[in-house]
Amino acid sequence: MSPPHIQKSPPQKSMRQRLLLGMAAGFLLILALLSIGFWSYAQQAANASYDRLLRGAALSILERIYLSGDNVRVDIPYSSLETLGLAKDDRIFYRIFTQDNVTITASHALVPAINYQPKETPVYWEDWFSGEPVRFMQQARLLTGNRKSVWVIVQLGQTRIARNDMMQDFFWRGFIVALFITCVGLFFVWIGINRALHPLIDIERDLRKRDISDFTPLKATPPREVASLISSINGFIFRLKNNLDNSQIFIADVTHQIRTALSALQGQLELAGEELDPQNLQDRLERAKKQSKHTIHLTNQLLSHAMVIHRADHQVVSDLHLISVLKGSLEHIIRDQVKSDIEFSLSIDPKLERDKGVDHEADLITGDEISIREAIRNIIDNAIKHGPKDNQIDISLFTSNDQIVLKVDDAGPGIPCAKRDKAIERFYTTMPEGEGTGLGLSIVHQVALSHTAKLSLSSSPNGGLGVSLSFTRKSGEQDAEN
Amino acid sequence: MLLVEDNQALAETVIERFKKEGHVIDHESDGDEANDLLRHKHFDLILLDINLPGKNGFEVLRSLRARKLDTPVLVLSARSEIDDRVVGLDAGADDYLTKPFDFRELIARCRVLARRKSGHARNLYEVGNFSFDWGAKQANVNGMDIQLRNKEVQLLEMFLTNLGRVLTKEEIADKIYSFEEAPSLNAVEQIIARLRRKMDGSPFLLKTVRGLGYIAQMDDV
Repeated sequence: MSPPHIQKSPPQKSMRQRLLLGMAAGFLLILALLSIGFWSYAQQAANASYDRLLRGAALSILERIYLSGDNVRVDIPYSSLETLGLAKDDRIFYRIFTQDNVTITASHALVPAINYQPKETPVYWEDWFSGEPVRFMQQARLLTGNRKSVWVIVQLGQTRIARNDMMQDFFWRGFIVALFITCVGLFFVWIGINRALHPLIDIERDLRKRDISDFTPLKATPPREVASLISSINGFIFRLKNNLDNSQIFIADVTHQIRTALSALQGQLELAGEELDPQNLQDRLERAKKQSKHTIHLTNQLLSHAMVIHRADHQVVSDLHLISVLKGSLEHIIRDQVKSDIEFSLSIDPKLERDKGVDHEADLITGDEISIREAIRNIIDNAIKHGPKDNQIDISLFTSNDQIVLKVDDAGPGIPCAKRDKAIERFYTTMPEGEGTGLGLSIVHQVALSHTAKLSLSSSPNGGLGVSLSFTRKSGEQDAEN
Repeated sequence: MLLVEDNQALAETVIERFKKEGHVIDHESDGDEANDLLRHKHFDLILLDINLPGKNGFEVLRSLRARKLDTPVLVLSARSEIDDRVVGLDAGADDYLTKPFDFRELIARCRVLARRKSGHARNLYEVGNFSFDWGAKQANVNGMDIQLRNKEVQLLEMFLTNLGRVLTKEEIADKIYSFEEAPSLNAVEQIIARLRRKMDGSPFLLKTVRGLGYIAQMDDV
């Protein structure tokens, strides 16, 4: 066996990593959504608390506003502003003014709310003032005197330091809890993934440690999800073992065949060497020569068999016209049979004839020309070898649906039905010991297998064997439709 | 002649065989040396192995043909794929034999090659008791001139230049009938039958393959 090729495969993504990354992305998304929620909640909560203080202050100021004659008077209760001072670092701004925007008293020149209609419910907004973000509120009170009534408006502003502190405090508390839950979740995911992948890791370890001659099935007790994987691997191991066994049997068979043939040759030559009678010597040499020829033929057939298999493994295929391949092969074969009395004939379905042809692609198949030539040569060689001197060998090519069938009929002894399956096996021959190699039909069979063609043996109208090979036509599908 | 073969045992038997037949045969076992030798010595025939140390057989052959030498070359190779056959003949080989070969076959092929050359020179084609004079268009079997009609001569010439190749009836009709003569395939069959009868007893063999055509060969061995 050849050493396994160590291939530079593209960087493999770990399933564990991918699962974990996927889960982490999900958790992070949730965390981000939660954070947005926390943030707005914290903001609302902080504003609500401090707005309440602002409003309290505004109300206590509004209570102390009264009309004195036509003048509006304010007696600011500073204690009420002190409650605002609970936020120590924050600054307070105020301005009290009438509906006509006449300031009654103010700490700063504050800008009132835009489009303000005086009413007794408070209005809140944010704005920049003296270089800081400031939360403003504004509330009005209608003062009714003897001669007129007037809206008096209190505007209060407070910087956001305390609010922001409170908001951040709220936010971070929530966030840390969520982060903790995320981490714990991911940890459990990690454990889960590892547990789920464990059977795969076991299989990997088992395969890695395995000796190349060990063909016992994998024995992991599988969870349902991995069971089919394991049974596939076991099936593969089984087929591999079968294949290896077959190769070993083949090598043993080949060794046996060649050694036997060579020993016979050696034996004949040794006997010839000891022979004193010139007539017997001649006989011995004749036999040695015959044996040598047989050995050569056997070797050639074995190499041809190996070549056909090798080419099948390497998928040497192209589009080819079966008619040309067949005619080329016949020329080679019949060239050496010109002197013989064997009659050959070729008949090609008129539908296939290209020079007369309607369909130029009718005989097109996908295959390996050299292998197909080997198959044709072996079929016809068989017909010649097994048949009588005045053999009649008819070669025909015809179509049937999407198939193109190559058929060779001879007038030899044929093969009885019961032995036809056996005849395809290698080293099975119907010829006397030391004559046939038993490889001819086996080579044809190999070629058929590698072309997904069908090889069938039948009785021929000429009285002998009919061998047919049916290939799938390239243009078959369109033809079948027509 | 020259044998280029690196296997000593095979070379020895070939040399012995050819010496017995009365030929003078040189031997080289290295492609580079053979190539050098071929630069200044002329041979009538070259037997060339493909797998050689130094230059391989195809390279030796190519450089020989590049120097416009038409010395007949018979390629010997252990490779059996038909690919090689094509490459060998394309590269300028005249014939091709796969190892292991029959020595009688080898000698017969050499004889054909050598004769082809001398025949061309003398305008005479000769095999065994058969000869054909290309100039006088006269065939001779066993020393007797064969009376051939015009069409039969054309047919014979066609077969002699295409020995071992299948000729279809249509190809033959196209060649031996002029445009006006309206070729009939039946007539071709009749001419072939006549030619075959007249060549009876000569080594000229003509086989009919129904559905394929005709193939001629010289019975040489």
